[in-house]
Amino acid sequence: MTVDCSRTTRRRFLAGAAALGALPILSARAQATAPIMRAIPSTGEKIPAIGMGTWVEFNVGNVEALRENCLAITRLFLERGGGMIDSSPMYGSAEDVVGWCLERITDHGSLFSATKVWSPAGGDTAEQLSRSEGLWRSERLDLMQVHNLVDAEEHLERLFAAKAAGRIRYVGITTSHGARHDAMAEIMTGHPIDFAQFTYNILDREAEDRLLPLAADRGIAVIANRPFQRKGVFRHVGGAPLPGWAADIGAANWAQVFLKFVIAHPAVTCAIPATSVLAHMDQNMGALTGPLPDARLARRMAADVAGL
Amino acid sequence: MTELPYSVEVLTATLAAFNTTWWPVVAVGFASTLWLPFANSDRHARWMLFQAAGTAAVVGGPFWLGTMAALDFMAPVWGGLWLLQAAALLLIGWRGGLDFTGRGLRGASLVIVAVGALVYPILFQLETGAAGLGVPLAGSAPEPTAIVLIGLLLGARGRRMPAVLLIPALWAGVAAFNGYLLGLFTPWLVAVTLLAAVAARIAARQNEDDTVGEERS
Repeated sequence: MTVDCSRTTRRRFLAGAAALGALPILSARAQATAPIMRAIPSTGEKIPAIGMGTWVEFNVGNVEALRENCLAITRLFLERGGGMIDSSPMYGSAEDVVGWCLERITDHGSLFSATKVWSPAGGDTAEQLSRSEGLWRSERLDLMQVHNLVDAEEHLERLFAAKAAGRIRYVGITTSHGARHDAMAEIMTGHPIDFAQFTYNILDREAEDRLLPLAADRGIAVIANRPFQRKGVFRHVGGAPLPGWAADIGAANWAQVFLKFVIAHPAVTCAIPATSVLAHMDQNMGALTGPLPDARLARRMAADVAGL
Repeated sequence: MTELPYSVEVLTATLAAFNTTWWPVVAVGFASTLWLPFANSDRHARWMLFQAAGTAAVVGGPFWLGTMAALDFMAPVWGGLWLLQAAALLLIGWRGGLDFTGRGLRGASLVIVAVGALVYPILFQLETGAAGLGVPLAGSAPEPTAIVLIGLLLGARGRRMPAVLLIPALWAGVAAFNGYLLGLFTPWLVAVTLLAAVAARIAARQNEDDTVGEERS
């Protein structure tokens, strides 16, 4: 059956015009609900701008009830379009708990697995990689990072080899200490890493001076850890009401304000808040949609929050 | 690092799991601690040290190297320290290296043992709101066991004391730091009892010196 489209009836014209008129509205709605994605500079692959950390919150050992809670958290995270889950052998049972959760979730959505090598955990780079694959119940991890730059040169060499062999997809480095930024910058300059992970949040903006511009310049994806400054940002604002500009960026709560501030930076690829509270995960994932502040508003946000 | 890799909620849930899984060992450890105040320190000195060695071994083995190893990357270090403590107590007990016959500090010693065995778990429960068995118990968990050891050693004399007091004293620092990181006050009780024990020891020595001085004058 064919349809003659050459004949334009009034009804068809009006329907077409209405559809065209609705386009901006539909586009805006799609923009409001579509997850904010960021490209990994080294490949162009896009990942959701909100990820999930596992430090403390997923280190629950073998306590069944707490594992079930982590499962609910992970399920909600993936259902709401979350991507990166970041862990480390330093986080006790966290890698095992993540793997346990993923084993029980059928649809992994946009999952992007990120973990680390950490010398004190024992074993060489390859052994740690195998151990993490086993704990994550995964045949291939997306990103392996050198935790806190410990034995970075040695691990990086082996991680690049693992990447070349197709065992992992990306290589990165991490720190959560401002004092290590010099060493971080040195590696970012001297090695072809894909990711750099460091602390960046509305109260700790040290990375804006050097690491974020360097990452943008070198084409390195940035994972912002501690986006809530270990709950410090919430303590800082206390019970203060949301400023008027929160509505402009579609932030319904402080968590979304803080996360949107972080992922609005053009050099940031992904923020990785950690939580064990389902309602908080729901709030965090709300930051993955809607408008983001521009540079001017971001500066104002930082100033206003600092002034609280 | 200025944060422990686990939360208070996870700690209490893990303690509950540990106390449930290892209940015979936990029960024996706790009961043997309650025996200490009633032990005849003249005749049972060696057994008191063996009891202490046993509880230190439980803290080092099932607690740190077993249960907590899944949560804390420092567990092998802490487990090793407690096993060393157990070995030291066992060795010194075997050789009869400590003398519990002094009566001067017996009262203070028993008070500190009672703090470790009874007061510590109650305070911990009140502070954390831990449900059921989610509390550390003397004879199997490090902090109350360290307090009991400090109390026990306060009533002892001997030149090998430093060898068995070193790790409980060190634990006062570890517990205080961990308490600070978790935002808990109860673990500081180890340091408080250590300071109280040192103060009691100094006061007792002062009294002895004064008595000797009076006798000579």
